[in-house]
Amino acid sequence: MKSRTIRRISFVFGLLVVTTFVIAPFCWLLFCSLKPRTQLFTGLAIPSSLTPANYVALFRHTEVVRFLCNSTEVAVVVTGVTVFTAVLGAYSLVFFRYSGRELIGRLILLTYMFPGVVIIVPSYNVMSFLHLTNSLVGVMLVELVLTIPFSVWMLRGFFTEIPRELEEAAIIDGCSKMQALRHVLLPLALPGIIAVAVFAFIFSWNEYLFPLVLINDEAVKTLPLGVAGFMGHLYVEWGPLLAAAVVSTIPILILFIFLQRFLIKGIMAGAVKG
Amino acid sequence: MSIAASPSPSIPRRLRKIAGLEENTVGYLLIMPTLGVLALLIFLPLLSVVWDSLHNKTFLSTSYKFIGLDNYRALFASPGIWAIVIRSLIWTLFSVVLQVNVGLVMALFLNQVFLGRAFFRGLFLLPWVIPVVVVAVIWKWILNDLYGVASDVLTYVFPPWAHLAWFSDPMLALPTLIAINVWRGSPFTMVILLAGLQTVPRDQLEAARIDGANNIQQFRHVTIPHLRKILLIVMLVFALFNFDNFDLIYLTTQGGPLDRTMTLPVKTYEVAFKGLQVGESSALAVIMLFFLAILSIIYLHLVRITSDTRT
Repeated sequence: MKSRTIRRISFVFGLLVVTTFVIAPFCWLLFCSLKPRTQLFTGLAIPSSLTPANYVALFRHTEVVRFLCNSTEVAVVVTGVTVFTAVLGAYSLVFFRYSGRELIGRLILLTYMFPGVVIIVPSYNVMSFLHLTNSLVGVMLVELVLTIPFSVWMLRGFFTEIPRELEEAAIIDGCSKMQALRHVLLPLALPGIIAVAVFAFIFSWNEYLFPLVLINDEAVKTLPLGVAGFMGHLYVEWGPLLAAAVVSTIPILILFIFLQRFLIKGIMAGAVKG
Repeated sequence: MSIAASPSPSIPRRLRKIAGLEENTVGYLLIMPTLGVLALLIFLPLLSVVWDSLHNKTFLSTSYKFIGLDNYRALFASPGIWAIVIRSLIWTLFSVVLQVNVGLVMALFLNQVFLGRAFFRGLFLLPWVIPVVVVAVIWKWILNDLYGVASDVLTYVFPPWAHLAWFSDPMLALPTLIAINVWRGSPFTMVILLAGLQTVPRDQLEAARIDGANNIQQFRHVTIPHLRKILLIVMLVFALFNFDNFDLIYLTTQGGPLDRTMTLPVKTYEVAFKGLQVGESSALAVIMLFFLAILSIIYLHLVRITSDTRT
């Protein structure tokens, strides 16, 4: 009885500490972004009122809407293409038997930890050869190269959990391989597909290095690049910057609220299974 | 891996033989886009980087020639290169050890079935999934030496630290970044380790308790051996993540002050896109690849071991 109470207390205490550790910085960001301009630098003092003035300034005086559109465009296209490619690739790796399959699987796993920095110069060269620097298409192409291997690997984990007999039964019943994929496997792998989509979206929404290298032009900057630009000025306008940070977080937050259980499944499929 | 490798017994062999050839073609076709991407991601850039590292290539001129290992010689002769390599390793080591340990402690506290667990798990992933630029904004704001809220809090809690310049003091910059990195990474390791903890068989813990083991002994002799593989994998994956980290460092300090947070990825970027020295930057990239190859080989080996034992 006594040890149970101790457990309970330590648990509640732990939960409290961990939650504060994780969430407090976000809350502070949100809170400060709503402070009036003149009271931004007053530390812990309670502001006289909360106002959306920083957001108004952000949307009125900066290109943030354009950055948002650019980021959305990139993230949506990258997610779509990634999911499509990953479904085909994972299906091939799990439900077909050809030589070299294991090797391909291993290669894919390796690329998963491939650092962007190592390939920035070659990617930059390829994109400038194709006249795709300062273009969202260039950014999309490079990001696809990074999201696809990871997504194939993750989806492969989901596919291996589907009993082979289901696919075989469909084929005996007269389905072609592609019909079996569409009618039998896809519905079963849906959680995995959603997880992959969420990952691809988050990854391309957040990506900083490749846009940094490929894009100079203000008109095609993605959100992280744009926000980093606000930070880089000699004189930092903290009010709009904090608001911009909140705005950059919101789409991720929304995805999270609705889809986090898929995301966690995905992490487990990727991490626990290796 | 294991399931895919087992031959399927339910289709008659003759039928499979006929369908086999055609099926394999489809299989190859389906993996083609992925392979194309792999070729683009690994082979082409790898060859290109190695090739560039052997030439005196720059972004300033289109002509260049083969110079053998001169880029490497120049790099290793330049002052500070060893400091950068060692700093990268320190950054990686401290980040990983802290991320995993803090994550493990948090996971142990939360290893219970409770209402809203899924909600909290999702919440804890937030620092990992938001854009790194937001992480940078948050912490540059909180830890600002002139008007950051950390100064205000520290004035009450621990006055000697109240006016430290977290990002611009050469002694403090790296520890500050490591701390931010731990804040960002440990909730993620926690979620993974929590899943691992929940696979520890309760009857074994129970048996240990009946045999007279106290909590710490149960943890050492039952929980840890069960978690060992997952801990190793998490450590390696995070070692790779951290070693590769560019965004967080570049967005907060750009490698400064006085290069005190300059790691291999940031240096590789700077040499290429600020110094415009493609050859030298490629040599740096090759050096990075060398370290990554070691980690990757260990990782692949571990993955093979764990997937073998699961079947």
